[in-house]
Amino acid sequence: MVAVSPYLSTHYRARLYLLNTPAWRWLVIATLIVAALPPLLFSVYYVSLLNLVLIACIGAIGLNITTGFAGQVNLGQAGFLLIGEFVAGVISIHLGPIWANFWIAAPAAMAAGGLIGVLVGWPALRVRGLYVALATLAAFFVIQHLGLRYVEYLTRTYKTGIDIKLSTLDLLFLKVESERSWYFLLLIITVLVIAAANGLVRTKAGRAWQALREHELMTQVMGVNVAQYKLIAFAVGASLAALAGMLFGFYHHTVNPEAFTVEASVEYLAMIIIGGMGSIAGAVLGAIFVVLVPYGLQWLLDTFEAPAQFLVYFSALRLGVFAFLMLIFLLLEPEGLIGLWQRVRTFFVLWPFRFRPLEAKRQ
Amino acid sequence: MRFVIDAATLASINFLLGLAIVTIYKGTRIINFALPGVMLFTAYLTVTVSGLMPLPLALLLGLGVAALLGAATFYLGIYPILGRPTYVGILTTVAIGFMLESIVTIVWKAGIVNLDLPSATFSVAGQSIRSAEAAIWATAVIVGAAFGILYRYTRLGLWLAATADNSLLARHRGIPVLVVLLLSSMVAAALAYAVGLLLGARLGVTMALGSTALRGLVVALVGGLDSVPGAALAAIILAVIESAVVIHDPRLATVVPYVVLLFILVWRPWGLLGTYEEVERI
Amino acid sequence: MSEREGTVVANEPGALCVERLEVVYHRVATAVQGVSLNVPQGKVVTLLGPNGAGKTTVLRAIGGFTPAEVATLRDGDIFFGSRNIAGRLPEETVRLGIVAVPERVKIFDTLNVEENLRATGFPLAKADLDGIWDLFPQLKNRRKIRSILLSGGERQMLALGAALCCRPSMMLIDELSLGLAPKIAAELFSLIRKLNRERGIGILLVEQNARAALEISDFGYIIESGRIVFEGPSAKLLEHGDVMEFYLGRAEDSEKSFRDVKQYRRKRRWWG
Repeated sequence: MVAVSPYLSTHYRARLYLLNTPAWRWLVIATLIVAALPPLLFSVYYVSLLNLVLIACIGAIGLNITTGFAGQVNLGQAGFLLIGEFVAGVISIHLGPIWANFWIAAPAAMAAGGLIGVLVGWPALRVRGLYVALATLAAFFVIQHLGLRYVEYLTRTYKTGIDIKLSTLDLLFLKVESERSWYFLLLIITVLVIAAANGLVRTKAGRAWQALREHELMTQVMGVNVAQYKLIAFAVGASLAALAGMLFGFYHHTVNPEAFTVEASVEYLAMIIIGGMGSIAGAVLGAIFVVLVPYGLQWLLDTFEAPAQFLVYFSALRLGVFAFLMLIFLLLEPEGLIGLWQRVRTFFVLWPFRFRPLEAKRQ
Repeated sequence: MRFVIDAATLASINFLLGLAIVTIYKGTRIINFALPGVMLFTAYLTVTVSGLMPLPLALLLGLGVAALLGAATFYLGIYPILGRPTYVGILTTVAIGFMLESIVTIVWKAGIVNLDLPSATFSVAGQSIRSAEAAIWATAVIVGAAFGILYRYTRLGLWLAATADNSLLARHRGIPVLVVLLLSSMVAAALAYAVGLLLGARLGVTMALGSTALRGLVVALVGGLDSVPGAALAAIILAVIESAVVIHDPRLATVVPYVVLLFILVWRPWGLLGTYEEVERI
Repeated sequence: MSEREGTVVANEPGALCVERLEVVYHRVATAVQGVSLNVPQGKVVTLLGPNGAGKTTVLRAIGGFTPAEVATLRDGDIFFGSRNIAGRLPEETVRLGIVAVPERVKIFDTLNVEENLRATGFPLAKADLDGIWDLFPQLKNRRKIRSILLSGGERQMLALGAALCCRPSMMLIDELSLGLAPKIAAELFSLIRKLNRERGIGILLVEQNARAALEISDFGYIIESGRIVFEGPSAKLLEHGDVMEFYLGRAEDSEKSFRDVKQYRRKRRWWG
């Protein structure tokens, strides 16, 4: 049911539709067309960058739901990415590569992620704020430790070495091999995830999350089952991260237990902070920003021919620069890039005034 | 007997690290994740510089730099975010810590440097004790007692509790919040520096110091984030558990603190001796 | 300074003079504009107005904003005596003797009653403490109880007591009677008047209970939508038709019933 304007709906249902005005529909179509262009226009290198961005988007949107919407600070998102990777590896090794195709690995990864998300979220039910963050951090270390133990076990039993090798991602009607095919697959998945996330926040669960983020006790007093919704938030965030991890593993053809460290957790958190918490578009923007920063840095170093010492310790430099940017955003633009965008918009809306004037007339 | 000595040393280190966390938490309800970075940076710096100047001067320089970093952490990571939710404080201090760690990695190339502190070994009850270990114990006891008295019996403790409760209201009551928190931050950094030196004297300064610092967090949590005696108690408990586990299986040493952490978060989140923060008014 | 009633002489020590105050939140939304008011030395002045008018903003601007509160003073001056305190931090204004009793977060919940009184930047002698117990005997009975467990009235008493421990020469009180039983509110109002008469503490009182506030104050201002719309001695305000209708709940020719009235509210003219 198409409404003429988002402010003039004739029934409540119309407010829930994702694309309820012609303007939105055209915008989305235009964005999709633009998004489909890169593989046709740009070189493979840039397409591979975009692939990494898309994978990060999925994980960031998941984290945005747990942390941005429901307010449960999750310092262990990297752990769920690891789980996704490992599910891919486990299926591939224990069941055979035939079974490690997309249609089995993806649901398996998401289910495992969701389950472990609930397990991690369960201790977080009892505590508030800061302690939730620490519990997730501790959970991450435990997961990482278990992951390393499992890899050791594999090395002993199956002689695979520290990296588990994965074959190419199999869609059963198509094998995803080139960067271009990966791009289209990831684009479709990301678009679906964005749509699903947008829909999810419009449901009862979404409202419950926003309420419990603002004032948990009040929400409980109003009869909302806070514990249940907290667990759902963790489960959703974790399963999306697991999906991202699985895709990451297949994309790199390897399961590396050290691919996701604490720094990765902080990176994902930085994505949603830099992008703007509680906003799905923000998560996407943040993912783009954070993933591309190291490559921008690399380009800067190449252009200005930095001393060799910088290049050798590139990962350390990258971490330092990234931390610096995160700090800048936290201090100066707490609402992230989305906040920045809104301020720019407000500037134009209010122009030539600088501030929203008072309603009453001057005496 | 050796077990007791090792456990005591471990407990002392745990306690000092936990104390650094408690010091910052007491006034701000923020966990200062920049401390591992501060520890690394000042330790490496001091050791490098000690080749160029007499040792006491190098130590003082390191202390000065630590205090400076503590002040920087305050101005960049704590003061600007005083009214905002706590996880923001975690992230700003994490960012500062990462920046420091990356500087250390680039400049010192993650190598090992050894601190040549004059050391002696002496015997007590048939066990040989190195002077570094004795120094660690002495530091823990003296510093711990000083802080405990300071917080309990002077106004400073009250000021910190008030500031942690509501920093805006504290400012409106004339409590010199900035000065108090700045000093806390500098002192915590100095503590981290001291631990870094003590550990470095024993085993050499390496990048692993950073992960050691995180156990300070666990200690503080288990004991109660705003409790000095709690940190002492937790330090001992954790040291005993870890020493016992290490005898059984050395690789588990790194994960023991986190398992204990999870356990305490589920059972008693506010720690053994911390303030019960759960009462809320609508 | 203007020639209005309630004008202070320039540089009168201990007098608060706000001129053309303009506060903007989040760099976009104007909260108050062109607000000017005076609190002569040792007098009680009340600031009335509907919800969202900007009363609390004015008080907080006088007390001082911190960087974390996203508010800026775009324009205007605030004089306390001869000093311009506009834009100063709370620590500084407290040192000068201006103490605020905020609306919502007014005491330290995690400390007990006695600790709350001690948790100030000023030393507390035994004599001072006993003075507080004399004013609030109810609090003395609960001196070691965690203040989150106090009742609403006791919290307000504790807030006032803690403010007194800061050696105020001027108090900025926000919504004294909010959420309190009428009897307790009345007690507190007479206490305020006593503090003013006996200790010479100037009071700027923001209130919703217009009648009580006007009865204990010397001068009153009415603020609506961020602007001062009326002012005058309290006695005059109590008899003003518009004030009676909108803030005191009684029309000039009362005994009107809803059924008789075509237009429920008289138009606000602020002429008299």
